[in-house]
Amino acid sequence: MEKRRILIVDDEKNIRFTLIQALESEVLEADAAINGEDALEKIERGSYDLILLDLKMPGMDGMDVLRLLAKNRPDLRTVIITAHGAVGSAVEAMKLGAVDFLEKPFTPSEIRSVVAKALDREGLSEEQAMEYLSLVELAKKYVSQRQPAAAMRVARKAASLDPRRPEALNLMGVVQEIEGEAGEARKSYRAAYSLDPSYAPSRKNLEREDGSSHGPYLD
Amino acid sequence: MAQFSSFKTKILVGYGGAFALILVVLLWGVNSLTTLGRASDSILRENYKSILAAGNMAAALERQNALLLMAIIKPVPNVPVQFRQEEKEFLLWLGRASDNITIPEEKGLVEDVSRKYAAYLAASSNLYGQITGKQALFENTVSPIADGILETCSRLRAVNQDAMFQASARAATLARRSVWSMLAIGLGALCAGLVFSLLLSSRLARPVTLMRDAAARIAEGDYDVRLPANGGDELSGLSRTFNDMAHKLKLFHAINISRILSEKRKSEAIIQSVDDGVIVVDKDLRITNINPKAAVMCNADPAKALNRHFLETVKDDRLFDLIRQALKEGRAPETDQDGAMLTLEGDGEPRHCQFSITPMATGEDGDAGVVVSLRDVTRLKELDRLKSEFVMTASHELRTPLTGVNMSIELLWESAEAKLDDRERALLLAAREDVQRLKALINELLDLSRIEAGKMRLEIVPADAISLCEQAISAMKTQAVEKGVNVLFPHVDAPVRVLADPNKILWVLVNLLANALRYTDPGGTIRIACERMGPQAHLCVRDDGKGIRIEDQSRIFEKFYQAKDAKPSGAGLGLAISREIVRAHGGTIWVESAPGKGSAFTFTLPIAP
Repeated sequence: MEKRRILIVDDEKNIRFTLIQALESEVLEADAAINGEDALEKIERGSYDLILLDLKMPGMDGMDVLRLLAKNRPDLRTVIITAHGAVGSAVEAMKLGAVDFLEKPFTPSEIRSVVAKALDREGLSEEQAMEYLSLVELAKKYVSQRQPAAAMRVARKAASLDPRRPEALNLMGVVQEIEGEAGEARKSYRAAYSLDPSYAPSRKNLEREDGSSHGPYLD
Repeated sequence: MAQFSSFKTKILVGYGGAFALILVVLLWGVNSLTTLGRASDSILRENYKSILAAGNMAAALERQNALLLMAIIKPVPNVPVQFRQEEKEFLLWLGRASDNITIPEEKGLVEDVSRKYAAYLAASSNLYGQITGKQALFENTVSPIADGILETCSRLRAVNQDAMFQASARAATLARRSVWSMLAIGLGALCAGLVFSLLLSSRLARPVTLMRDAAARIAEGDYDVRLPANGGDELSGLSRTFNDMAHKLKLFHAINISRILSEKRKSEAIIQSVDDGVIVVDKDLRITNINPKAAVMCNADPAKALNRHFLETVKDDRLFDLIRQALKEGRAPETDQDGAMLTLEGDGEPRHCQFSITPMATGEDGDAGVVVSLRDVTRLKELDRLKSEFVMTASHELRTPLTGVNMSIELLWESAEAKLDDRERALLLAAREDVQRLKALINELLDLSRIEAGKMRLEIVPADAISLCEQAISAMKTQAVEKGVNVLFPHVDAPVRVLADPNKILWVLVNLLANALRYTDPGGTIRIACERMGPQAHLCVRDDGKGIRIEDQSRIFEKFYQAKDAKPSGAGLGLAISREIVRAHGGTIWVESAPGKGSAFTFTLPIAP
């Protein structure tokens, strides 16, 4: 089986290095770019399955890269790396199809899990997705493909499958926020939070000030 | 006593004057009456006797004539006794008449009678001596003499009668004059008495009136008033005492005034010098005092702001409403720390002011007012903002290096089992643990800045406290089961509806539960309680863990405080944040604990109406 290729874009040398160390395996091959221009160049030349993109970089920043990719390579999936709340506009990032966020400080296992989810999601189809979490993943896939209506439909399906779990509701909130329905989004977050107060993403989403630069949070 | 006698004398003199007038009128009356009596008496005495005498003389002469006629008819040898008797009678009355000569004419007449009567007697004697010719003698000599006497007598009577009439007329005139004079003198005395009384009374009343006016002036605050006190009478003494009193009052007043003035100057100086803005507002909401700081804050001219309506200077309706409320209720309005803030445009940039309203004690004269103090907390707010910003930035900036360290350690740890010896593994474990701590610390710092930034955005709604407790328990269920700790929540009969932001309160409950779980040994029990206590709900998380040392109990709610024997788990901000949240709800949070006997964290929330 061919190794999946991942491009890590971060201006911090040690982050790049440790990320490569964490991800390199029998099935994964990791490459690194030191800034936005370098990343675009590498994407041009090589073929990658997934980009790990730090938003905050000198020069061309992550958001610029994301915008260009959304325009030129809509097939390419991106995981956003943030230092808690330093996202210029997470809503915009999500609109551009980035549904996976990695918040610093992360651990190797978190990285692997996010990357695995993002890669696995690509193979999901409506026929396969039967249980709750795979439906949520499918909804995220639709978000990443910039199909909010489909994402909403699948998220609802997931929510009706297990009304006690918060993930689908939170995702619905995120989609509503992307669609500009802040009030509805807040209701969804609150519903998710009251279902499970220990579920951090919805709590953080609730605590956000309107128009704040952080969030929305998915995981 | 001697000096007071003159007041009595004054009154006595006053009455004495009136008495003297009465005496004058009395004497005059007596005099008039006497004069009148004397006039009547003289009429009787002087003229009546003469008239009587004239009549009697005439009667005696008539009777002698009759005797003579009888002697003509029947001659008698001698002059009869009867005739002599009549002669005596005549002479008697003649003597009385001559004794009673009161009118100048009378004397001549009496002498005339006396002379003629002597002639008559001589003629009569001749008549008795003759034998013949009596008739002729009588008719020629005696009878004409007798007629002459009679005529003189009647003349005498007429004279006296005239005199009597004149006297009577005089007496009447006298009487009339007396009446008029008495009337005049009486009226005069009355007027004099009246004038005198008026003078006297006003003279007596004058010092009293002066005293009354002076007392009135003192009552109005004019302590310089003095009464004339030259005399030696009682009123002068009273005036002197009064002056004395006024003087002492003035001194007393001056002492009070100077004390009040010094107090006023003191408070003025305090108001002017304090670094806070101070505005004093009277009960009509007019500014009675404003210090330079407040004037600068409000961008007002202190001189112009004085005695003007509060709103003209401080254009803040909410503060104005609170002041009005304070004036009405006589106590400071209840506002929390964030409620007592206002933003003033002032000179240029806006200033954030914390204000407090203190009503002045309301006296019985209703001279109420309030003191508004304004504290410029713009700098503090700015500092606070900078602090939050710093915390935020620092924790962000720390995250990148921390990620590198964390990643490296975790990657090493993955292969440590196979490649490192025990010592190296222990070192790596130490590094790993502290990285975990560092992560928790940074996360809590971020939580704190988020809560601090977001505490104004509580979404208070009526919420079911029991359901909140259940949600918190379900959130911690997995961890509790993993650790083997029982979490008990006894059934509560009545619903407990509270006013709360459910998410924030859930955060608190979860945090308290996590703490309890951390300090409870496997097999231990955590009890949740939720009950209504009057206007508040008490929510309690009780564990039977090792408890908290007394010296730590008062400090565990402080930021960054770690009990000495606490398990290192973070920055020690969980309880501080919990307290912030509970306070923002208007509640309180406390701990009851004894070492070895577990701890109970309780917080209150207001009951929903």
